[in-house]
Amino acid sequence: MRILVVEDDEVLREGLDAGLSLEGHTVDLVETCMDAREAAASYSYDALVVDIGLPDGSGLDLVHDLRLSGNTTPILVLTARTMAEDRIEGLDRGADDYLGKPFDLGELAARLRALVRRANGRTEPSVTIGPLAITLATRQVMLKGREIELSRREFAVLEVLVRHPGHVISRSQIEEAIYGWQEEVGSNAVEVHIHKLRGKLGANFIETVRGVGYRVREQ
Amino acid sequence: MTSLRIRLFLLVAAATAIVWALAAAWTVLSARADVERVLDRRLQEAAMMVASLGYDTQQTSDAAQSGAASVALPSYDRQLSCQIWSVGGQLLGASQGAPGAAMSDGEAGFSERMIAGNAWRVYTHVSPENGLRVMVGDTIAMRSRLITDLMRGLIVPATIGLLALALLLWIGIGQGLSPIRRIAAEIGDRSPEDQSPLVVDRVPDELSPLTREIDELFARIALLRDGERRFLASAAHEMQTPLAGLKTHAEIALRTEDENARRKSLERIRQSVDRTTRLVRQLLDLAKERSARVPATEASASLGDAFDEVIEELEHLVAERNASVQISQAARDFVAPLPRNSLVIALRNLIENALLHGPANSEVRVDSDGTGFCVRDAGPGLSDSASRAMLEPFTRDPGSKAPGSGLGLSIVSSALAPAMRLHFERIASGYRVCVLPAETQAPSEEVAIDASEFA
Repeated sequence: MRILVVEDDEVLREGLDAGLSLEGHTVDLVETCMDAREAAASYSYDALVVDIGLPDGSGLDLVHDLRLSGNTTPILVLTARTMAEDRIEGLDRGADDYLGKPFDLGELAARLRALVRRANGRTEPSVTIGPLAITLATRQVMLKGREIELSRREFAVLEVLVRHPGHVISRSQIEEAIYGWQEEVGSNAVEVHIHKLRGKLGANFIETVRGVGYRVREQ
Repeated sequence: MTSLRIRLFLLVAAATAIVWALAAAWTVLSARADVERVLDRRLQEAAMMVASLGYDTQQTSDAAQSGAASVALPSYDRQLSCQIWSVGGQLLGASQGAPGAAMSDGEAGFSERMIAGNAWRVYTHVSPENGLRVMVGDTIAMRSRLITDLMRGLIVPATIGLLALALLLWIGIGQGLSPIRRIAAEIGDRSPEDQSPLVVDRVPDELSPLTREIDELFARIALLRDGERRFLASAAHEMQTPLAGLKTHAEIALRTEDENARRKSLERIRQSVDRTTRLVRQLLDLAKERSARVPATEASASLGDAFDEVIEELEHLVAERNASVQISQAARDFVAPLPRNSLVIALRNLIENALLHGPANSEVRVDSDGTGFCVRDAGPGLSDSASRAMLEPFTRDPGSKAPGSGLGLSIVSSALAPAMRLHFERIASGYRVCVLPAETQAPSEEVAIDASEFA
């Protein structure tokens, strides 16, 4: 998943970056509401993690503005304020979930997965397509009962495809989902990952739609 | 005396009693005079009446000698005694109970005389045409008894009246004070959280300034509590953010297999602990300054001593920023009208800010013009609006990348009050924050001191 983190505290921001990357996600970092608005308008994220106290305004105002502008990306609000009224205000202004500081990285990751799952209209924490079973929380991939080892990027590509089975996903959509801003993306990086996935999961699992992108067949 | 009701009652009762006593004394005196006058008039009339009876001097003289005079005289009044003398000095007759001796020396008019141990008041009427001298008198003791009886008759209703008045006063004062009781009950019934205005029916005009002041006090307390609530919420936020950073990096250090990432996380943990330590120290400083905010009129502390203490504490930060901190001789000699702790807290925060927000490898200087002191650095400083806003706790300069809790300047401001205040100024070589006596204007650029003066 590609996640935008809006946090002004440098130490925590880097912690979120490293922690969510460990969970296999692609993370973009911004410090201010202004940068967050720009990033959210320019890229498609699977989820946003927003701190309430930001230097140029309240994270809750940012959430409200994003919702007014039609952005429906799941948003999890991070805050030190854990009073019920704050939680209610956060949720009423458009946040989807709420996590008080200090938090557990595992819980943050689980809540983000649940948010994204619900946003994609699924309630099951795992996806089964034909002989392939994918558990998103543990990043476990089973093929006919046998566990398949995937790299972080390979799993990220697979996750984008299986989250929308039957839909064609373009190369740029895949790139956007698996690479952050600062990362260099090789011209044939996606092709390389697809090639490796086919080698591990079988040649017919991922279909190439020429000139458009890739698709996982619903079986 | 603690009861307003008793106090008021005693005041009014004492005033009433004094007026009452004066009126009573006046009544006694004037009644006594009236009674005396009436009794004198009676003596006079009796004497003249007896004289007008046309008494036969000769016959009477014989009768007197035969002892029949007392029978011949009409019994006029038992309280009165009468003697009838001839002009020649012979006793012609006397009333029953009249003394044997002459009641007066025979001079016409009123006189008083002691006869057989009794004082008498006598009127002597001389009637030359009849050749008679009539003496009519009564005893002073009888007169006094009459007046005493009269007074006794007055005292009973007066005492009952006084008691009734006291009762009415007591009840009336109680009624009059009932608005105070209602206000007290309204205040007594409220919870410590309730700072809404008083709701009391029919407050008299005299008490409305009191209720107004109480309402204003409640409003000020509400404002203060609101500030404290906001401060606590901000403090919680400021504490929890570095804690969240700590926890996140600790989890990463435990989970990652990448040695570089682990080292980076551990380094972040160290930074976060430093920052949290500083924040806790600042919160404690602020709590100390706010709780001990008493007018320290006698306080004074040497800036030089405070500087030495602060530099020892900040050694690590000075080294980390590769900076140098200098103090001029004038500043070293400056004595601030502040408690030593407050001066140390203020100076430490100002130097810390200068080190953190000024460029690395630069110089921080403390100088003085004799009325206050300034801490200058080569950094960009604060905008005017930011310097004002940052006196509020947990306000950070949005333009600054340096770490901070946003507490430092509000702590300094608390530590300096009420004797001194902060002044911010952008100068040619950077920025300076000055601590000035509370009532003075900003210092001029002359405070800039030649580098050679620095110790």
